[in-house]
Amino acid sequence: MEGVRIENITIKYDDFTAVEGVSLHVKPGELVTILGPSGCGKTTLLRSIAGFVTPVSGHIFLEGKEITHLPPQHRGTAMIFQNYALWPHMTIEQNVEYGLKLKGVPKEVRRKKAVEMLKLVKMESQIGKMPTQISGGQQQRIALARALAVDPDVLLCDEPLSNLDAKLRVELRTEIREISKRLGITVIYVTHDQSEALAISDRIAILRDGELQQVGPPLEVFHDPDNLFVGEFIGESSTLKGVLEEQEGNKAKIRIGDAGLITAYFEEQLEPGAELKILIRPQDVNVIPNKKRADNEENILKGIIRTNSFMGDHVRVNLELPTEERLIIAERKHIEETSRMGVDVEAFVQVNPEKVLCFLEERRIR
Amino acid sequence: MAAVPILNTTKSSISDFFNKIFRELKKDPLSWFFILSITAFFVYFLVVPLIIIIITAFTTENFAVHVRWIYIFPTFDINGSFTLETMKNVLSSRRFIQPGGAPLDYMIRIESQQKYPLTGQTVTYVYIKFKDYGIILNTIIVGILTTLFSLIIGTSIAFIMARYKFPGKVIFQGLMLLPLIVPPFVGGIGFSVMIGPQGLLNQYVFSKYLGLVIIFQGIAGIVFVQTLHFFTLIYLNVYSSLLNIDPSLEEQAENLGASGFRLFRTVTFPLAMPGIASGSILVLILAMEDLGTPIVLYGATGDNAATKVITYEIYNTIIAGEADARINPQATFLGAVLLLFAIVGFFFIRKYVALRQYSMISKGRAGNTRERKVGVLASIGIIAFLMAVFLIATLIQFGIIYRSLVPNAQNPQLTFDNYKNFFNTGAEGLWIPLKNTLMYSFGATFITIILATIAGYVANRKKFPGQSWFDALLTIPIAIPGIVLGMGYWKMFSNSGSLFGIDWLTLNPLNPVLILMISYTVRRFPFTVRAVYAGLQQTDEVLEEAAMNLGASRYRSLLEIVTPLISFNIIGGALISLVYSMGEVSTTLILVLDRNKGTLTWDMAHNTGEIGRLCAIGVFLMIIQAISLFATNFLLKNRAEAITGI
Repeated sequence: MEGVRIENITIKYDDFTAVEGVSLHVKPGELVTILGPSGCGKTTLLRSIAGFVTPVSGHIFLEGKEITHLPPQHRGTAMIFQNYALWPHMTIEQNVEYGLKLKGVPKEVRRKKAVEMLKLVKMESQIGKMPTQISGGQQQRIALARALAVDPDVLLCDEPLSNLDAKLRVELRTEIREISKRLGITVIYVTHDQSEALAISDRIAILRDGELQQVGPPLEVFHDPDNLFVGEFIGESSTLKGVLEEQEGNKAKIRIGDAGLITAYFEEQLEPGAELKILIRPQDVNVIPNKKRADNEENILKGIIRTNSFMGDHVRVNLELPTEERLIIAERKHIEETSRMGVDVEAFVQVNPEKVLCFLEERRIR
Repeated sequence: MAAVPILNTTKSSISDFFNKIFRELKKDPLSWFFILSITAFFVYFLVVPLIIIIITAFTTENFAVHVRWIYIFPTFDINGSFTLETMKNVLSSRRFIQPGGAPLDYMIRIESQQKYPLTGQTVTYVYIKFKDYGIILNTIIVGILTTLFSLIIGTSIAFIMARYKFPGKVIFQGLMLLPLIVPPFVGGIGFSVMIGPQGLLNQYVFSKYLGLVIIFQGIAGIVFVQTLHFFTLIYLNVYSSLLNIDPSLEEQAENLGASGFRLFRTVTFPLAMPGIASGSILVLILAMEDLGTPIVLYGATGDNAATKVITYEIYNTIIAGEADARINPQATFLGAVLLLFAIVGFFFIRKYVALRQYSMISKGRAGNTRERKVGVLASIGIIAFLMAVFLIATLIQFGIIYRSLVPNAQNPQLTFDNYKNFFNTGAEGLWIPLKNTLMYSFGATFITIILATIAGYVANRKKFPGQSWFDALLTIPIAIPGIVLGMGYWKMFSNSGSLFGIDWLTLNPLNPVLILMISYTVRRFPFTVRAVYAGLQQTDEVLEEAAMNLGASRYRSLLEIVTPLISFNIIGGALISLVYSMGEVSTTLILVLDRNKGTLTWDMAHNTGEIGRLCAIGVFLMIIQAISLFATNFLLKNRAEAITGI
């Protein structure tokens, strides 16, 4: 057992390079999402595993066997698609059974397996219906059952939840994870929705312009991004320009224009005056309700509150800094005080220096 | 030293290239088998015969090209050398080109104080003729005039139908398809029955009440008959173009201040232009290639002037000749001229149809059309106009039905003999031609269904170099003159050195059934392949990927996923191919020599004097056509491209 191994894959459409030199090893039973903005090549990469696209160079191995140039039907992959792709001229049962029929499995065995799979996705009551008679969410469940019925070596998911409404998306994504874990199946899951990726993945592979940026568990890519793109793409954040004033050991003082001075920690030694990009997540900033307290604290930035929205469990503040940059804050401690401050007033916020991420151009400074 | 790495790269890129091809073939062998075999079929049965005709047109010997077969590959033995003699002879002959028109000829002639033989009244004869400008120019004039009149009528109706709401609109939409139901020959017969010298209108209306006998002759007659049929093609094309225009495009223009004629001129018309242009070119080509109308106008009314067009000229040399002499260089040169117009026109249409897609962009509001309710007066005007067009256009059909029951103009008596004749198995009966017609056209349709489904599938689903040429090859038969293809087949398959040493065109019992079925298949292929193509465009490719992903080969996914999903399109397209096969004229007339092998249209062409017999066959073909057309319309939901093949 060795899962899916992608080695240095490059895929071109005429002159356009969709995927460039991507290597990725998905271990057996692992759920890896390929995450990236639209047009980044993630679907192309997935389709090359399924066999619908042929790479110009590189190799793809499935369970130790090279499948790079194998036709799709001989690969042992199963895929679920964004628009479900249920065959409208077959019943739900026929849809689910079809893969087994192709393998020459006898009718009774097929039916048993289909029922079993439909139970797994909680759709056994729909067995005699036609695909057009059920909703989108139900169709995707059927598609999942259809894919799982053939016991594939790997389940490929091509943005399976994009066409569903928000609530259903959340519900189905946990279910996909649960089912795949119960069956111990290897899953490669393509999505552009970072919260979906964070919620279900064992590991996330972030793709940009056809190139792999970082691969790692959700916590890692969220808290420890390798570059600015990954930092900005995963989770919410504000990026500010800063200039290094002084550095003692791993403690760096960074000036954010007239907004203030903040501390950050990194080992790499830089010259004072270095221009940095500072990435701050909303939950790592707090609003300081009174000015006096702010004067006595470090890591304070000042600005004018431009929007101030009460969200129930937190208040979202959009702060305009003197540098004309915007800083987004999710205030969870002083909800009432912050809320009462209103807009177009001066405010002071404190940044948690442990969580400040610094970048030189695109590169993360550690 | 620098040469070494260069050599290396060349070597590896060559082996890369072959590796790539090999991998590609291995990955999807079936698609490649389909592409190659269908290309071979069309090269063999479409390109080669046409090349033979072109070669013949430019070689010295009378029967210059002999096709000799080495196994299945044709080789051309060309006796004689390249010459422009035939071309010079034709182009310098006043018979073919006479720019000033024939001397003493007339456009319109009026003879008063004449005796009308049928009623004995004294009447004024009005002859509407158009001058004879020579066979080649006449053909072009026929094409242009028919297109022009069809354009005026077709576009007006399309615009009215697409933009106005009036009582009885749905009925008129159905009625306007009826003029499409005019089998070959029948248009001419219906014309002569209704407005020929002894036609019903002249006999019972014009001579009685107006003291006039109006006679359309020559080119005017051909144009008249063709227009009443071909305007529907323009109507369908433009109508679907107008419906495809996103209403918000026009609303946006109105919003910015354009309205009325300005809106039409600056927004609507340019957006509908692709439909108008492709419809017009199609009509132009088909009008120039029409053989049935001149044959019947000559046969039924004895109008010699109606024979002065290219198709009839070719046909005439063929029926006059014996064996190989049936096809002479002059006929092939004329064929090449027709072919030139056809091919240029075809590629023009292709360009425009590709352009047509831009009118579809941003079609976000389904069911929201720009129909405007019109007032009572305008409604009456619209209905009167449509009624008039419909009545004139269907005069032909009424005429045919009438004459099939009342064959004799001099002695009008109701009889069903002509219909009983369908069950007459004797030499004079219609049983044999009917049986042959059904056999040939069903056989051809069967081949067409299989080949067109496969061809449409690879053309739509597979990306391969030369794809647009492949697509052109499959659809160009719509434009290729049947008479030219027929000549090519004759040259290709009738020599003693024919394929496997067999003369396919005289060999019993196959003579010429097999070749004829193939010719029907080739000629009617575009209708089915277009319909299949349209179906595939509406069928998401992901459905197939889902199947292949689960282990289905391309063959199984084609058979079990795609075919059931596009079955309506296949049936609809095949029905049209079938109907047009049943009415095929040109190649049938050239390839069939034996009465026992003749079809209904062959029978019609050889009995042009027997009006009752012709009309009964016409009615039969019309009924079949009507049923198929409405079934297709129902299955394909009024898709003009399927019906017109473009």
